Amino acid sequence: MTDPLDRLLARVVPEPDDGAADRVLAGLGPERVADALAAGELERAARRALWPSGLLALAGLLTLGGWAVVQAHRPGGHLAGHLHHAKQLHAPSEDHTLVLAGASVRDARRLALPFAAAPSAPEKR
Amino acid sequence: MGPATTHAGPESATEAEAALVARARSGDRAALEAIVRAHAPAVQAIVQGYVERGEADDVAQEVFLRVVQGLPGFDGRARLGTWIFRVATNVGLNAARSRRRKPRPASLPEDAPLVAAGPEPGANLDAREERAAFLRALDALPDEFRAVVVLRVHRGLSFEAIAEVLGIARPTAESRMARAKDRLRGLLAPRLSSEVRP
Repeated sequence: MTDPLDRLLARVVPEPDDGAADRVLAGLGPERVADALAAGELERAARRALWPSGLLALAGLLTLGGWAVVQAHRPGGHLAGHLHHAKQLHAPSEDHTLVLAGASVRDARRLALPFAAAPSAPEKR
Repeated sequence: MGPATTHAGPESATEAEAALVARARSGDRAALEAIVRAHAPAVQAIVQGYVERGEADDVAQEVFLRVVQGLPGFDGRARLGTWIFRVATNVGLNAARSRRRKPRPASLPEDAPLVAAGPEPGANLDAREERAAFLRALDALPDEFRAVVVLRVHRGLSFEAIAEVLGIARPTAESRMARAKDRLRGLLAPRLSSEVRP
């Protein structure tokens, strides 16, 4: 062994310690061991439950999302009805705007529809 | 025909170990004692690569508490000793990190004993200083290098066994050891330069 480092490494090796086991066991009383075993069992059970719970949660989210998509696109569907009503609530009041401009309500509706007949002359007020 | 000789092959040793683990898992104190007695000296040697001798007993106890806690989940894929060494390495690394974070006294108190107490009552100051210097050098190594050095130097494990403990490939273990030694030569240069060749 000519490498100085190897010689140093050989010197720093700890001596065999026959009393180590007794000292360790002195600190591992029955209560401490029982607590550690119980904690270990709990950790193992929690880890076992984690995967199925996560998968179930994901499946639930996907089901809910899929149902929402189907309902939104289904004509007359529950959500579709709500969407149509929402659109109506937020649609601009075209009738009121054109009526204020002097056209009748009927004329306004015809103007709002594609390929509608030409509006009649504004009613004299 | 001579008497039949039975040899305790690897299979019966593994079965015996599995039975011991099962008994310890169910709270059998004698089984736990057998596990501690079989592995405590090795664990003590490993943790001394991470903390000073005075703290080694506490850390070794922490190792075996973790072992007890991990027994319900131990699946027997690795040998019990391999798994215990892995736990000792992890606990040791954590203890070393905590030790580095604590403020250390600038110098020893005046009434500090010059001779180490415990299993080495005759250890002289030079040997203690050398170990302390080696521990400081190990503190400066990356964790993955230190783990290999401690298992190799303090336990004399083969690179194959080290690879199994740390969950790495054998060439990786050899490479880390070589790189660690390069760094140690730099860190311990003053001590190594004063070495007298035999």
